[in-house]
Amino acid sequence: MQVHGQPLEGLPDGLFIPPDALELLLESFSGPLELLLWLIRRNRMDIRDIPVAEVTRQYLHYLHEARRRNLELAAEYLLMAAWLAEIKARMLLPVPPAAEDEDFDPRLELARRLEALATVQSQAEALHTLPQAGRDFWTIYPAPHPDLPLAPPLVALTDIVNAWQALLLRPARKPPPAHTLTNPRMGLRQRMVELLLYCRREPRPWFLNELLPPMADRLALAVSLLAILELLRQEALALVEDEEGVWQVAVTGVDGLGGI
Amino acid sequence: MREALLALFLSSAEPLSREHLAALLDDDPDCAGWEAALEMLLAVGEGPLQLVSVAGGYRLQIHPRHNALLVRLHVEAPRPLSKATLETLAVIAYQQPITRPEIEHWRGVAVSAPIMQQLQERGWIMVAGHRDTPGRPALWATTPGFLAHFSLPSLEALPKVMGAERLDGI
Repeated sequence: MQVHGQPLEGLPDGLFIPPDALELLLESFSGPLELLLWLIRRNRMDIRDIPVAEVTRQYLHYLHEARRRNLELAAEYLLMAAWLAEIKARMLLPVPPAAEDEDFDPRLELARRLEALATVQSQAEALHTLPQAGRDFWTIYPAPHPDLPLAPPLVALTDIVNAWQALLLRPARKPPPAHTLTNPRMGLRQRMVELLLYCRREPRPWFLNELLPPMADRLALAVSLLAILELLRQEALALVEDEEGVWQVAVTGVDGLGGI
Repeated sequence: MREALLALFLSSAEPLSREHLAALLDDDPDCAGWEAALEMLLAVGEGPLQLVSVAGGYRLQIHPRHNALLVRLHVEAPRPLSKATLETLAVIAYQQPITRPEIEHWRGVAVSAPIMQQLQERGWIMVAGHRDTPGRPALWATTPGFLAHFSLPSLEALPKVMGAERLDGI
């Protein structure tokens, strides 16, 4: 079997479209020209000698299928169909005398555009094979420089003098409180541990004012007191009463306060 | 001298051309023989670095023998380019300088504004001039950043594609 003098290598793939493939297929084309090029390649046709009637038939078949499945197609697809029909019609007409040179072929413009697209596709593929930074190779990147610093403001010497004098005239501030606020919950826990270690130094009961930190601010006192209460609640410390009826704090398990 | 060259390349964000190096080094008596050192660096690299010719200059990059390792570090590979983006870029790269209508002609579809925007943001394409025809359409071209990203020394190094010559008249 021969087509255009060439032995036919195989039958065209025909028109079978898997049921769900049409939508995906049409979405993957960026336009009617690409669909057309795909059809021509699929049928192993020659771009320079397109069997217009057959290609048009297949092209329209896809359009009908798309419409039957309610797929929205851009108007360009219909425009291409019209162009194909026009080419076919012109091929049937006698060649106008004005254009009677050898090159005249209504298919020429279409072939040119298809070839252009085919070229672009292979160029895109060629680009794709190139190594790309961050994917196939890595360069040395110096840290980017921040934008140029802002120009310094214009300051006269007198401004600095005035500012300094204003500072001197300010009332003296009280020294900042000595404690630093940290996570208060952890401060309490730390104080509890400190208290336990402190009380264990000697096996005797302690007066409250021995355990509370000297010269402490209200917060440190409150935390210490809270720590003692918490230790008492957990029964890590115990309250004891001495002969004079004064309450004292002792580590539990410490005996030495005979009889109490 | 080898170290001085390395210092220059390591601190430069862009490939350094031979002319640029010459302007920096030629008048300095301490830098005599820098060209020989440059050839040496090009030939053998330095440690994990290799010096490659890219975008009209030279740039340090990690020797590809470490690629398997680097892939593990740089897990987030850049997103692959879409087909439409690649095609638009290919038209501009191979046919530059080119106007938008011509890009449309090559691809057979309208040029997508987001794609052009994306290519500009990546620093791969730029307006190189205007054609002196009605409307003075902008002429698009690729940038040195494009060459650098695809590791091309120059546009001539773009891979050859069959069939392109025949269509130059379009």
